[in-house]
Amino acid sequence: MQEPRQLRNKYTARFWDALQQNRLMLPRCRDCGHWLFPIGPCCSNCLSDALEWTPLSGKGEVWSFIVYHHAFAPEFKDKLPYNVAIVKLDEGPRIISNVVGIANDEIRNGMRVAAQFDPVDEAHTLLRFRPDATA
Amino acid sequence: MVAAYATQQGEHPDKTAWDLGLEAFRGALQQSGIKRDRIDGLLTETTQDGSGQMEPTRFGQMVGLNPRASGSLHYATAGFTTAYAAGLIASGQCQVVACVYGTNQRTSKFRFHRASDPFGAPYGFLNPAGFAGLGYQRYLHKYDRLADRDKIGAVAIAQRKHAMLNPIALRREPMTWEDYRADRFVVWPLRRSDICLITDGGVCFILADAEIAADLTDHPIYLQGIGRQDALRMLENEDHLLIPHMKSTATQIYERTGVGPRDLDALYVQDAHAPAVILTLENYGFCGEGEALDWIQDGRIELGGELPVNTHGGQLSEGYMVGWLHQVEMFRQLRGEAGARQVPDCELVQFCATGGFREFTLSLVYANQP
Ligand SMILES: [Zn+2]
Repeated sequence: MQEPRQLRNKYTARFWDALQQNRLMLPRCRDCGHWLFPIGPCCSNCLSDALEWTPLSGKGEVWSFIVYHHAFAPEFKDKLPYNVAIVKLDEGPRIISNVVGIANDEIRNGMRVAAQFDPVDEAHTLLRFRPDATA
Repeated sequence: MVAAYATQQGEHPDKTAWDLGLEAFRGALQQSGIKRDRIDGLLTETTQDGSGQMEPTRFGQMVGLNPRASGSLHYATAGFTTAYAAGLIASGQCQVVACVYGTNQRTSKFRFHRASDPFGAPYGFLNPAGFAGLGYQRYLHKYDRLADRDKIGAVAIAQRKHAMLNPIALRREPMTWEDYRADRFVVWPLRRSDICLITDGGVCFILADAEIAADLTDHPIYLQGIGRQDALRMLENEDHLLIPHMKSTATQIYERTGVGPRDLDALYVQDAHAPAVILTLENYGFCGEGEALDWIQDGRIELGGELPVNTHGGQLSEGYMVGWLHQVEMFRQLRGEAGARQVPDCELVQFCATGGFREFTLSLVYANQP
C-alpha cells in the first residue's frame, strides 16, 4: 500500500504541506483559470507555467461512492465496511476520498460535503469530507 | 489470425508465467503447423506482478527467435497487442507475428491490491474493482436505477452458462438467480460474481499478412478494422466513469468496417467486471443509454439469444486473462470449432476492450472471410 509519504513529490509537496495546516490548496493556472488535479508541472489545460497555489473552499458534492466489504490490504481490515467516494469540488476537480460522520447507507449522490483534515502521522494529514452542516 | 491457443485455466502451482506462455506458444505452432522460423515478429504482455515475466527479449531467447521486430505492452493488452501487430504487418516490417501472454498470478497469490488511483491509496481505494464500482454506482444514479442494481446479474449468469460448455473454464458449476442474489458484496455495488476471476494460464495467437494467411493455415480469420480512443484526462472528463470515449471507438470501427451492431453474430467484451458489458452495449449502440439493464434480460446475451456475449464464459467465469482468451474464442467461433457452444453460421464478431483504469478503449471486428 502506498503511504501518503510516497505520494509526496516535487509537484505535490505543497498540497501535503497545506493539508497539514488544515488548508486545501491546489495549483491554479493564471492564464486560463484551470485548477490542477492531478497536480503536475504545468497547466494541463493550456500548458502554461503560470501556476499559483490557491486555496479552495473545501466544499463540494458526492459524485459517486462505493463501500468496501473486502480488505485488499491488511491495514483496512478493521475498517470494514468503509466507503470511498469521488467528491466533485465546487471549483471543478474530482478527488478520491472518504465521507465520514455519516452511515454508509445514508450517503447519496449530490450530497453537499465539506473538507475535514485528518492527521495520519507527524508529517501527513489526509483530506476527508463530512456532510456540510451549512448546506 | 492464423492460430490461437489457450492453456487450461485455473491453478498451475508448478508452473511459472514463462512456462505457461511457452506452452501456449508451442500449442499455437502445433495447432497451425506453422514452423517456428516462420515467425518474424514477437509481441508479449508482461505480467502484472512486477516480476518481469514474459518480457520479450528473454522469451525470444527461450524459444530461439531472432525476429525482425519484438516488443511488449503491459496490462490488459490483448486487443492492443493485436493493433501493435497489425501495424507491424501493414507497414511491411513483419509478416507473421506471434503474440504471447502467460501468468501465474492465481497460485502466486498476486492480490491486485494496487490502487485504482495513486492518490486514493491512503483512503483504501484499492483494486481495479474500486473504479468499476464507482462507475456502476454513477451509472445507477444517473439513470435512476439504484433499485434495479441486481439486474446486472444477467451478465454473470449468461457467462456462467457459457463456461459450463467450455472445458478450460475455471468456474463451471451452475449459477441461478438465487445464487446470484445471495452472493456477497466485495465493493458495493459489485458482488463477487460481478468481478473477474484471477487465473493462471497462457495464450498465444498468431497474426499474419492476409495475403499469405491462407497458405499458413486452412481457415484463417480476418481482422476487418480497428477503432481506438483514449481519454488520458480521466476524471477531468465529464462522466469518465461511464467510458463515453467508447462512442468514438464505435464510430471509427463501424465506419471503417461497414459493419453495424445488428450485423454481428457474437460480441466479445473484455469484462474485468460486469458493468463493462453494460457500458459497452450502450456506448456502441446495441441499445440506448440507460437501457442495458433491461436489454440483457431473458437470455438475450446468452447462446441462442439475439446477441451472444462472451460465449466462452468471459473473465467472470472462464478466467481473467485480460482479454487474451477472448481472441482465442473468436478464432474458434469463426472457424466453427467451438463445439457445444458454437454460434450457428458464425461469420462476424466484434471485440470491445477498455484498458488501464478505463482510459484506453479499443475495438476489433473479425470475419471468417477476407
Ligand atoms: Zn492554463
